[in-house]
Amino acid sequence: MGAITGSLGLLHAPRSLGLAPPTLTLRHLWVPMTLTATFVRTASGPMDSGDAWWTLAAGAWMVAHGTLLVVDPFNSAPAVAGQVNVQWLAQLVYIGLYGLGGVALVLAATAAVATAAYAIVLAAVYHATRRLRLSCALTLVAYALGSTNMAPRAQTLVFGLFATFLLAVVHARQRGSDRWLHVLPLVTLVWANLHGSFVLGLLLLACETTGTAVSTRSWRATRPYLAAFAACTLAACVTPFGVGSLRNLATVGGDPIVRDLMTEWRPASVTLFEGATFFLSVAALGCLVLRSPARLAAADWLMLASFGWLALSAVRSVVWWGMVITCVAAPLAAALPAVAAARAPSRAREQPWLNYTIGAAVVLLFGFSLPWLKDLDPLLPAPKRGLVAGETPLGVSQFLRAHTYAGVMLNYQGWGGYFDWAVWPTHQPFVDVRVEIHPARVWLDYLTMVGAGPGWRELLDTYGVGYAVLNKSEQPALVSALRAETTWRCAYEDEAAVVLTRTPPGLGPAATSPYGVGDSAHQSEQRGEDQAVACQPGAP
Amino acid sequence: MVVPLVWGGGVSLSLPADPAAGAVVPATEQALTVRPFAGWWALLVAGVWFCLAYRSRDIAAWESGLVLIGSAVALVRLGNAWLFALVLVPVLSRQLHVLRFGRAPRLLVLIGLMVVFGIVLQHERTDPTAQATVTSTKPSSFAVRPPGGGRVG
Repeated sequence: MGAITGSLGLLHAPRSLGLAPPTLTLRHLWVPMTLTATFVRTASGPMDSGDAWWTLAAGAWMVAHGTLLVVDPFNSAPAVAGQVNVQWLAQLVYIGLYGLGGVALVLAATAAVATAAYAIVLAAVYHATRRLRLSCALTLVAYALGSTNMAPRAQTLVFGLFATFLLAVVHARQRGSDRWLHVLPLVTLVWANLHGSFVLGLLLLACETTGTAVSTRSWRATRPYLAAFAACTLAACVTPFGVGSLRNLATVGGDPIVRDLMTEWRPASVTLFEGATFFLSVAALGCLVLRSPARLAAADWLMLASFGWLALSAVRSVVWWGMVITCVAAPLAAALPAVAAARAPSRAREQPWLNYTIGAAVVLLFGFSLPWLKDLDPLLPAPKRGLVAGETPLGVSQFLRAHTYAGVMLNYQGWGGYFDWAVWPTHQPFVDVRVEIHPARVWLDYLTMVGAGPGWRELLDTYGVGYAVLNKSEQPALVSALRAETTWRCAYEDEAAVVLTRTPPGLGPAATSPYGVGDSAHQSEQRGEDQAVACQPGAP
Repeated sequence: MVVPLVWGGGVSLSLPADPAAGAVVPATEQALTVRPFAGWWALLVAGVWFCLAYRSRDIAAWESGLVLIGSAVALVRLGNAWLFALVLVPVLSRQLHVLRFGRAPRLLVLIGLMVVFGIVLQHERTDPTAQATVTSTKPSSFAVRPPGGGRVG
């Protein structure tokens, strides 16, 4: 309790007479420093080209049509039957934010929600340990494990809801009070309409319920958890799709394309940043468990096993693992002799001017991380300064908005979400980042086409592809192959993107291309590693 | 434990193969994950040691060091798991001794664990196509990437 005793008697004598401002102590700064750290990194990042744009597009579609979006209208590739738009509420939230304040407000609100989530984690850890500095340090560890998952998308909105589950469980365990457990069904109801990860709240409750039953063998002790679990399960069905949300989750989780080809669904390994941090956290937690005099409860073991297995199976689950281990590790860390003996620095040793300087730096960092002000931050790396990520296909989208072509547009899948937002319905992307809405056959065909694999020409004909919007660095095989074709011409090219279109029947490419792409000598040059620019950059 | 690997010429200690270098990388040349059975087994055996250590609360410094080093080399390349299996022999043996397991059960457990280790590792090594999975160094990307880090055909 050193930190708490150190914070007592904060006031100088003159202040007690109302003559001087309160003295700023380090204890006052721990929480702002921790939460600012979580806010700054999230807020100062640009809007990436992943989920954010199609989320906005879906929200805009619902607002425009006044109805729930169920069947995807954006992509042209064949879709699976029985689609379920679990994230409909998140899409509406995001389009509402966008309408109020554009991309800047979307970014700021996402950062605020993420920070609120870690504030709740901090509260849960503090509940478990009553040690402020330790709670702040562990919260930062949790954030570090999930820091790559803070992009504006539906999942980010629900981190706070999971943290609320953690807080309720910790509160019930530490205080023997089920007050917070009563809130969880309402939390689940909101969660189930925001994102499909609501089952993780149920999983956490199931672990606590089972653990409590095993360790206490008491119906009375187990009953509140069991009641909360049952109520949450029922609340999870209160969606426009009923139990369809649960079924959809099983479908997405078991989709072989999602599991095998999506980076964030890959199993944890040290070659991925999230995987490396996960294994580091496992090693650190293992050392802590073995060294701490405190023992893990049965529920803790179940949580570690369940969320550990999820993180091992898919790196996108490392963010949940981070929050769980923080709460599990907190009592263990607090019981370590070195931590138990540690005391907060005495007020006499603190330098008020230094504390005020730190406080001012925290405020400045917070202010300059806001999307409206981050351009002024000289320390921010150049790629993070804009509101939109550098890899977003802005130039080619502008070009596409002004031009139309016959046939299906084959596009780089990573840009599909932005095309949903920026060029639909003038152009309909073939696929976007939502892997689960297309059957595996579509993805295998897509990979064959963009890799210029065996039969790629036939596949382009089968799908009726009339033009291709490709990423030159990600899809060099198809770019080279189409450049070499006499029936395709380059219509647009910039540093990252190229638009290649089929020439109308009967017209030779040399006659139609203003850049002489059809010239055979030119084509042979383009087949090298250092491809010549076929179109003028930034054309037209 | 090591015999099947020596027999097949598969004992080597190295860094993982560059995923961009080829379209299909055998499981043993990739970093450890739970997809191949050998990876799952390695984690399970490490878990067994951890549970024994947690129960005994008697862990020597060299024991922790060996486990950490063995885990690290197996994590970077599944094919290095033979070394992990090797360091687990004295480590597990000590924990079983501390927990007063008899000599015969100790031997049986150790041999059983290690034989399975050797067999599954050998299986992964000789069946690369079954475990040819996607590798990529780009985290948290939403992009679908073909096997071989983006190079197909």
